[in-house]
Amino acid sequence: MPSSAWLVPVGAIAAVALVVALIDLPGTVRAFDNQAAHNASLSASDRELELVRTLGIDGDFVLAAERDLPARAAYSVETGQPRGASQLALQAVPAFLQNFLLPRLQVANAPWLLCYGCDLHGRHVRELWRKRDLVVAEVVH
Amino acid sequence: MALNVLCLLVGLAMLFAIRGLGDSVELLRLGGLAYLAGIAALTLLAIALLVLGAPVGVGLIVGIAVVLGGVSVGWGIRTGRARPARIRPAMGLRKAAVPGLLCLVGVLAFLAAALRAARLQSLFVTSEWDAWSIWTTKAKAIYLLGGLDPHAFRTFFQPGYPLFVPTLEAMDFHFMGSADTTALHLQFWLLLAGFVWAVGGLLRPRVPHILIWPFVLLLFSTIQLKGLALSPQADFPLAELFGAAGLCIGLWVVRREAWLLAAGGLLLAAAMETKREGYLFAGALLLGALAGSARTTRHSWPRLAAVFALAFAATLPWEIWRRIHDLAGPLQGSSSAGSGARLGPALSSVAQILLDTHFWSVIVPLGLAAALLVLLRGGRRLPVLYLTTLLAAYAGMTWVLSAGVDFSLGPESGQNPIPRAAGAIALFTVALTPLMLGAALDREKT
Repeated sequence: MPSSAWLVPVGAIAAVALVVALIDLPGTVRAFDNQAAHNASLSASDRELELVRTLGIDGDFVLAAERDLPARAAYSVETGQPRGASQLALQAVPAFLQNFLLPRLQVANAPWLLCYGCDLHGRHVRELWRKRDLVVAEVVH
Repeated sequence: MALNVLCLLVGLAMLFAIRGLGDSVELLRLGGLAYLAGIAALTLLAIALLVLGAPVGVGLIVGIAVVLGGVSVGWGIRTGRARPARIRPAMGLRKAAVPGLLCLVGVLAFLAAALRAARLQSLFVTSEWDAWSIWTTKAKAIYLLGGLDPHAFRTFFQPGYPLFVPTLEAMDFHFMGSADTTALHLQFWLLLAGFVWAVGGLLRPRVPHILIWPFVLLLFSTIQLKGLALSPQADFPLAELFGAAGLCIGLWVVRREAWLLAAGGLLLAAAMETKREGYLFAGALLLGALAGSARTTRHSWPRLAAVFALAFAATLPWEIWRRIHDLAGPLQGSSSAGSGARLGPALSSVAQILLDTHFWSVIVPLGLAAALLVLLRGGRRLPVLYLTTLLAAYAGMTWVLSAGVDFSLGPESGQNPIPRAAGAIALFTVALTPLMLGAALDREKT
């Protein structure tokens, strides 16, 4: 076949790409526009705690931990079954705090304890902040 | 932003060193490749310095940029590379180019929409789980703790994972002056724009606009792109680096210009340092390039082997550091125990992800059609490279899915890593399909 004969199949492949793109693109652009509108409606602090709200993690607990733990503290996170918390929130709390509280490091048996509904009976701790069964505490030896 | 401008300048200097830059139009055309190459080179060097215990801050990054850029420019002058001349007079617009340029306008409009979404995007949303639980946690640790702290890394999830994205993010934090995870999304928009620029620039002027931009628009329309492209995690950077590397290697197989192999090797090193899948895709591309250049084995194979070996060697500093500090490696946890019974379903799952329009639209089917068309036309090198890479990647992804007993085999499951990993193949296809179609119109280029 001469070169020009190959224009038809080549053009057909490019045309399929373009048609499919034009069908699907408006949805993608709309999703970006919706995201942009949502982002613009939030304040800087809202953005920082968006996951906390989405997952139902207690925002006061997160802010208390950030405020009360020393800047280079090592801390532990223990979770239990706090009232109203979703399984997703309980799963997310340690990883979220690990990121949010850096440069503080999350380790086992640390001198500081972030208790998200855990059982503190018999534990020697000095409570720095409490809201129901959510506690920010220093472990006392 | 300053870091990204620095990367662009370093990349341009490196391109000047390895190929020369003929005029301002060429400089503009190859800016995207230069940007990706600059990002790759500076971040890989920063990882090596972090491993050596250096406090990688703004001063050191600027310092290595100046040294790398200066050495590159000096080498380029010494070897007599072509220097950028003054701007070429504007060329007339041919009528035939209009539909293709309209597609380019669509690409730019899409990037503008993505920029609006990225500008104020919060990191802490559920769709970016890996971004805040893995990638930015490490980046913030590097930034806030002043380097690599093995004690800190041991407390993180998947501590031995490749370090490219956390290092790049930590460099961003240094240049921003804070661990601003909202502004960080702009970095990932820039990588997306850089990929598109690199592909367009590498393909032009040999491939007409109308064969390039429809495939970029097709990529933009995919459902996977919305959730991944702007998110500060490693999936899309891997795809972008691998896609651009694959195009460079594909062009080298056809044109034999050494600078394309060097640029491809650098981007491939960055891809391997981005995610563990990078090694798999690099291996697949090596097989593809070897098969695609099978008629010139004496010339091609030693060069390909050397470049791929050097690219692999560039990832060794982090690999050595993580082994010294006993951090769990990226391949630990995989086993062949469950692979036998899972092999059949895994084969089916990966095929569905590659071919079902729900994941990466019709990108791979169109890539296959283009490859078959070039084969019918009598061309060999590009379609053989593409098909071999695709087949090897398919086999590799199947192995990963069947061996990882914790992975779900269902394509729709969030516990199946293949839909995201397959992005590398999708972007590779988006980059290579216009080249194959252009080659179908000109048999000499196949």
